[in-house]
Amino acid sequence: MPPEPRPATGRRETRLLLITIVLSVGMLLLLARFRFPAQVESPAAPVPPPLERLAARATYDELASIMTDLERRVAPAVATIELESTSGATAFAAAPRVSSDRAVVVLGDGQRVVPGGTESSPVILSRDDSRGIAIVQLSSALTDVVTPRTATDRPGPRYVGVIQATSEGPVIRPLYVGRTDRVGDPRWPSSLVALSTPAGTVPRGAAVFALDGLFIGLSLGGGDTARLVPATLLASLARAAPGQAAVHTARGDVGVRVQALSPALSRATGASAGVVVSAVVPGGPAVGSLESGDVVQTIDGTNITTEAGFRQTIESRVPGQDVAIHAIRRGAPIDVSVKAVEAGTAAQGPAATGPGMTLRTVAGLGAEVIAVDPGGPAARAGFQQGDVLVKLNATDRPSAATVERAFSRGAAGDSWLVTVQRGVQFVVLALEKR
Amino acid sequence: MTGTGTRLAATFRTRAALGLRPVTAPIMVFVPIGILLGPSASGILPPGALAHLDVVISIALATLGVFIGIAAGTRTTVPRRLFAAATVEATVTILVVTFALLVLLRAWRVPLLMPVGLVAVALGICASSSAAIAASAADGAVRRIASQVADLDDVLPILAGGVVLSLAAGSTAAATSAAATVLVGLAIGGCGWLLFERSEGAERGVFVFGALTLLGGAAAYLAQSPLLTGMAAGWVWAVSPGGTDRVVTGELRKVQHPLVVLLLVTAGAGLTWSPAGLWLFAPYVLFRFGGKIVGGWTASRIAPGVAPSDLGSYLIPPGVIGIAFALNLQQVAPEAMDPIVFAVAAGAIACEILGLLVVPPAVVP
Repeated sequence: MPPEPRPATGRRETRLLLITIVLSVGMLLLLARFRFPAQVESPAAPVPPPLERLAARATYDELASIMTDLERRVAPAVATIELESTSGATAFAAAPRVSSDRAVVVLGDGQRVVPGGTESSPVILSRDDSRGIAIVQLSSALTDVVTPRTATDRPGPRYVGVIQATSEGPVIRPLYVGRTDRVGDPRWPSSLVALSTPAGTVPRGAAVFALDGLFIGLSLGGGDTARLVPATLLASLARAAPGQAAVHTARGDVGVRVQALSPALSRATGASAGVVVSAVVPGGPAVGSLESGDVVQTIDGTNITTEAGFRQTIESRVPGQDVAIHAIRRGAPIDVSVKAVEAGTAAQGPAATGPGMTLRTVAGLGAEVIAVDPGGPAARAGFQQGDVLVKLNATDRPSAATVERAFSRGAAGDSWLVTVQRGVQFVVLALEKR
Repeated sequence: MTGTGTRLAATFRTRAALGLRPVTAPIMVFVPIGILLGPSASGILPPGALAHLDVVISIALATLGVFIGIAAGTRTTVPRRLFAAATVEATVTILVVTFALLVLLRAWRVPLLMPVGLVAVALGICASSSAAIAASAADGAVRRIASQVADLDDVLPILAGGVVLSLAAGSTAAATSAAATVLVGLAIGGCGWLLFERSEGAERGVFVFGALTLLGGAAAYLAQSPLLTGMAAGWVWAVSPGGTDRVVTGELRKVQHPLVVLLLVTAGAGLTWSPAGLWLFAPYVLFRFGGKIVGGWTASRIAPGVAPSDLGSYLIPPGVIGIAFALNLQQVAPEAMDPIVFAVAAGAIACEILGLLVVPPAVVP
């Protein structure tokens, strides 16, 4: 057995501790007098961009110098546009100029562009509320344009410059970006960039630049992970915008309801991916083109895999625009074209002659409501899914066919008193035909 | 042979990591071998091969975490104040090294690709782990206490390391990410427990290695700490009913030596010399030494029975965990963490030598 160390006295131990502390503090003070030698750049070696070089030494003074340089280079290419919301509140948005007369700006719901900021008479050339992006024609004499970053590698971890708009013009500040990822969004033709940053540091509408002055993208906001629309995508959108103002604020709709494709539905329909059409709104634009049970796989070439993706893609279409849909019907592929209408009007088309609800006959009881079309006559009357129609005017226990036949034969302005069993209660509703 | 000669000879027969019997110290042998094999020397291990080893490193880190988790879970019979002493000792070391490096990095203006605070805390965490001196029943009480403190002082660094790793990966909610990592480890540990208890033979071995792969892979996918997921799972296996901890330990014995060797060789091969790494190296060794002495003194107040200066001396040899954590950081932010890996790996060798010079005579085998 190894011998036990001899017991030490408390005084000796305390003295040893004090010596250690004093020596450590002394060494700390001594070492702190040194300075890391400056990097000597060889004249023959390619000199990295000064901002990149400085980025490695992100002390306060150096970062301030970097930001001053970056602001001098990119601020002239970023316009400040005044926005006004429906409530009358004003805000300012950064609008990077992607060509000599066009800039891109992020708009919120109901916001409009008004003269202000650095622009006296901005004109919206195109606006897409589902994506929250607008292409603006600028009239100011400034002609500097941003240079989109085309590199495919992800910008991080490193410092970037974030430009926000104020009433005094654009202001810039540094931000350290950690992990970055590419994220898909069905509303956009290519992936977005997700930056992991503290919440609120890249607010919606902020423009993000690399330290070499290249434009990375515009922020759509988003909590801990800010999503950026890449600069190259914004530039292509600006190029594709019409020469004259063509503002559309309405969301598109094709009058189709969909549900997720379960494994059982996949086997039954013969489709490996997509969303299943659960209902086609009567009188809607998709009547005759799509039917219940079809599996929608792509819209205008964009793969559709979720219900949210379908809804967002359709909403991004301009009312009146033809939408190319590729679907699987009973195992065979079909391609149809449906004209988008304004959201909320699909169920109120001129051909809508039904009561606006799907019914099924319950023997000995009446007709049960399976689904109610939003905006239809039944929805206006207050019918709900699960209601059972037990009396239609004088007819007891009407079948589904009886209700639909009575409604279709009625004239505009006719109304029917319908007694409905809702759970354990009975309710009387007035079904009107307009 | 003179006393000095005996100590020099003992340089190559020091303590071993992970409960190995005292043989040649793995750090002093395999890190230099890795340097010789790496791209900066012979190039036998090219950068491409090192990149492919990343996934194995994650599994090796998870395995180390499992060992520590099992050790922490089965040490519940040890007096709680011994665990408290180990935690206090690790905390003091982290604070001393972090504070000193914060002061120096601000004064020196060393070019770093990470925020100065993050680098200082990371080095503090790497410095806090100690090598476990395998103690037997025949050893004295001092050595047994020192061995247990050295075993248990890895728990706090791994927990804190999980948060630092999340910050280095750019996560804004680092504590939440670390908590999620622990939950992942606990969940995999729970699943593993159900599987191990109802299987046997080769099938059980497959389940154990599958669970390890899942622990390392899930953490790597989430850019989190495999050490933390492994520790959480190991703790579950230690405290769950049945003999899961014995089963896992038995299976892991087959791979622990190759994995430790792989970890150290990879660390050596991946070392990238830089002036920044060299400047970090000296204060890392110096203030780790000071931190361990002060930490040992503080811990001895909680766990009496050992002279304060002796306990601090016992804890000077570094563990594999410090290098493992540095490698983990390098996986998340490769270029930014190169100087830290250099400082920690070179510092580990220096601390091994330093430990031989100050270690109490009773410990030298």
